Amino acid sequence: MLKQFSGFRLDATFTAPTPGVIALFGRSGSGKSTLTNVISGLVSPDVGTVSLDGELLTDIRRGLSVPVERRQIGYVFQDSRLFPHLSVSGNLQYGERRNQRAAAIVGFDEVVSLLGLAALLQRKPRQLSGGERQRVSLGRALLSRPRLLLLDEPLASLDVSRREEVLPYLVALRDRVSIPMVYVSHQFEEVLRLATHLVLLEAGRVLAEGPVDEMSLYPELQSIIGPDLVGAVVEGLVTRANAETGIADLAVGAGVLQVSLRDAPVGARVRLQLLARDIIPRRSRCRG
Amino acid sequence: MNGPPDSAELEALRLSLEVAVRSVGFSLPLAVLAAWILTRARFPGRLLLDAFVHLPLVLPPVAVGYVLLLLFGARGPLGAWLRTSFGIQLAFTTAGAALATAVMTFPLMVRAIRLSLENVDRGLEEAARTLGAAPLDRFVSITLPLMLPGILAGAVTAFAAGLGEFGAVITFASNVPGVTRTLPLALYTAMQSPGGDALALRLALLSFGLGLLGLLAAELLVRRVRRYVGG
Repeated sequence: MLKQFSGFRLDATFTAPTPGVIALFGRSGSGKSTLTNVISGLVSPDVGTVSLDGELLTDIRRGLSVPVERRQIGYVFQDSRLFPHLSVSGNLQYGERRNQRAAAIVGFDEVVSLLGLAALLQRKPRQLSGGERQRVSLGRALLSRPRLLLLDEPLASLDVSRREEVLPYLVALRDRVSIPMVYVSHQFEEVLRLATHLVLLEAGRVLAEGPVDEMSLYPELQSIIGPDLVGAVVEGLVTRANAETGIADLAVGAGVLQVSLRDAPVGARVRLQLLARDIIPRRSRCRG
Repeated sequence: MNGPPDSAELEALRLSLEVAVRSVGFSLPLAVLAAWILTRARFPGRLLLDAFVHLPLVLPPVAVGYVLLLLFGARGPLGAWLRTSFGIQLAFTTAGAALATAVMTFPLMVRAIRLSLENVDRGLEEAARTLGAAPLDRFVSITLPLMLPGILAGAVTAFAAGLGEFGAVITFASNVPGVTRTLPLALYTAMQSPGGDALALRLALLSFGLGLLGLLAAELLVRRVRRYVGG
């Protein structure tokens, strides 16, 4: 896939496993949004192909481009883009009504409860907070029965507390709904909490891609996220949890780590980032 | 047009209202189309079309009426065709007065609609696309409702202006009592007749009140609709 604007060239090839959350990660201006726009069909590449589930959506050489409205690719925009003349419920139903023939992934009621929208249904978008808007936008995209969900920095326009308010909904969504998602972000923390697969973009090129835990050690990542956030990502299984102290035993690779962890039951898989700045390597055995 | 003979004022008022309503009804869909083409379409000659649409704003109304007479008069190319094919005569009829009014107020209407269309966020249409809405569907479900304040503003302004159109109407449709003698034509006639001063004053006051009412109604209506579409 190749896209050229004046002074900018995007040259990206990646294949994403489904289901799962694929994070497109990189600095602003690295081509993340252009890439999602090309996948959705809103922007046409100069050269290249886009395919989904083995179906060719764009093939420039053959002059093929499936119109956006027939791609069944959900899109959650950074600025939510709710229809101002429709109520929340009207917004949610907009895509649902137009995709009756596709297989339903989740029903209206489930989306409403999953995203906590019950109290908002009769409101107009201008009566919603930024976080609420993004939740509605997410629900609207989900109800259009997409084969793939694109999320273009859905939290970027929110302040930190609002972000924390929406993020758990995204996590819940990932665990409950089996739609492959492409998550664009330049916040590594979001990527860490959501993504299963990471595609690292820099100046319009794919630097590297792979599972998040493998990618966490990739040296190029360090230059993007800065030294403070560099560290190995490991997945662990909760083997013992103490609700009173908030200390849990976590089985990782070779041993057991004791970590401060609440609200994760025994048997849950959690992801842990060991920050490089917190680790002191030693050659000799630790005494005392 | 039948029924008991009205007083001159009431007859002129009724005719003015009828002409304005018919002119708006006739030109509104075309104005939406023209606004859409001028805003969204890219083609050679767009600038020329733009100028053409706005021409009645700068031409002497009498010239517009004269051109209409040349085209739609009994011997004009379009007039002859309409008469032989559909039995429609426009010159010197109420329908003709409405046509002349429609042409004169068309630019006002297009300008208001165009302004509202330019303010419609294209991002919303893109969002509708990703949700599966085809072009016509998008226009009807998103673009048109968001343009509604502008469409209404254009329609009401054109209506109010249409009540008072003079030059084009008198040239194309003439000054026939009960058929094309609208408020301004009746006013002009009264001023020309000896002893018509009192009638002229009443007609002038009527026009004044009507115009004021129209503009106020337009403003209130637009505010209300704007609240509805959440602007």
